[in-house]
Amino acid sequence: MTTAHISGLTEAEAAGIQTFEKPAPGSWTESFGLKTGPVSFRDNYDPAFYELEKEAVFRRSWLYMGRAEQLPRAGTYFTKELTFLGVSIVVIRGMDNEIRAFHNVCSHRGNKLMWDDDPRAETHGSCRQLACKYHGWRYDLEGQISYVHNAPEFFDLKEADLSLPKVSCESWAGFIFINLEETPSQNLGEFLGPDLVKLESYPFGQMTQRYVIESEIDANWKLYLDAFQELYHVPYVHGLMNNPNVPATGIDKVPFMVPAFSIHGKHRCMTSGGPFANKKVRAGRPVDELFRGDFFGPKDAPDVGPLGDGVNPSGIDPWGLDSWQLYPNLVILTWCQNWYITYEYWPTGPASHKFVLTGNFPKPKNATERLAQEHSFVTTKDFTMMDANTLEATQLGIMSEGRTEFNLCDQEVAIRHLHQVVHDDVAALLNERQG
Amino acid sequence: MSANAMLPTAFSDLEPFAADWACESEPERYDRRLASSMDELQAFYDAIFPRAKAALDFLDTKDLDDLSDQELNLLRMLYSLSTISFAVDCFKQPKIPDSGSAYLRVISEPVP
Repeated sequence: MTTAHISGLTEAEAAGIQTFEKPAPGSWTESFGLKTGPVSFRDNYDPAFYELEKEAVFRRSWLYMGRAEQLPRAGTYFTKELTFLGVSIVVIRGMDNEIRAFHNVCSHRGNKLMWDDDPRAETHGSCRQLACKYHGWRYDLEGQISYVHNAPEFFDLKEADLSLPKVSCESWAGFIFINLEETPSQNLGEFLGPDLVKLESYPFGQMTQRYVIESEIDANWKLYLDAFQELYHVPYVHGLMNNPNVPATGIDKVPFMVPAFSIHGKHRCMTSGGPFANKKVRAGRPVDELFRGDFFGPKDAPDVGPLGDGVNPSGIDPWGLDSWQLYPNLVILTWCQNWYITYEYWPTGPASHKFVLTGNFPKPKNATERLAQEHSFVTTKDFTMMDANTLEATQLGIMSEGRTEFNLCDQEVAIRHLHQVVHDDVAALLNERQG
Repeated sequence: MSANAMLPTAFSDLEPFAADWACESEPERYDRRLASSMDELQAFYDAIFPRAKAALDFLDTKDLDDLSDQELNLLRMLYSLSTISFAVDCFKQPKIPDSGSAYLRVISEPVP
């Protein structure tokens, strides 16, 4: 059976598909030392596995909190609610310009320190001191106690013991991370590894026009990550997005092959031609031409200077995009049209998560550039909606246990890698517990 | 110019659509898309699409951070054209097919 027969293509259609050379011994999957057999997706819903995963993965990895641009001045802060771990973090820029992270809890009676209106909701703002709403205790921007209301009434208060509990916090390329380990086993640079560290030279800091989307999704956090680390789904989930007023191009059948996958420690990268890929089978709409933008971004890439030496780690030509999957739950997607997307996937339960998407562009010089950005982002949002609901259907299918083994192709190698790394981390935790 | 014109004089032909489509935020625009009939979406699309290039050229002569209320309304109507375009061009219905109860909520966006 030839590939053409399997996917229902005519020989002529099959001949038009872009294919790319694979590393020895002939597949991405084997080249990365991964197995090729069917997989179980029990790790996408099993409550016991979820509990282990929280401990083994999320309490032992560097976790992304936000961007340095969200903290432009001393005293600016934001909170991050890691509700699934029972933890609230406040990230704040000190008078010395350092960014620090603290457990968001007052040293007096344990009241949550920084919140507005709803103590469960994330907040952000600017302050001179962190002040508790309960009894007025205050902390300076570096987390030291600075005021205790009616202090003489207390017994043996020791100033040094009253500082806010510090959480390990490091930044890379303007991305702020924390680590909940008492003493992190690796610093952030070691955790990211040399290839990701190189991406620091990318001009992220110029892309300050920021859109943020949030959604609660009824699917395990890994399922959405999986959806965006393969292009195998594109012709089917997104087939409708082609301009229907032009002759049919076969987009409903033509596979989108990924030119290069790469593994970087626990992290992965999927590099592709982006706007240059399968150009013959896609048809843009008149409104894309009007607004000079589409799913791939503004058609006229703004000048942001050099992109640094971290992009296109596999050296493909033409280069369209890198989708960096930073373990465990951050994706940074840099497009050749000089904008970037981030995805975050925060577990809220074994079969649900909170999804956060940001779109980041350089400041537009005029209305035309502004509309190219708006149209690119709005297009991305409609695409992403199609993925979102498909995921809930997938979650239901997996949880039905109507099947317990599933087949992944070589284009889905990144999925295998993520699940393998999660399983390795869980196995390491279990080994430790057994002494 | 009428005293309560929402748009710059040169675009007064689009006034009938301004009250509905000069929405201040993406969530309002998206809600308007979902709440509209296809006839309403098509009528707005047909009215603004041929005028959009002229609107862009007009707005390109202005400082984005210093737009008058009327200019801002015109800019926002162009955003609305983008918001509804997939519904009109591809889906033939306001809602994304098979999108069920899934949603994506824009909680922050650039201004203007």
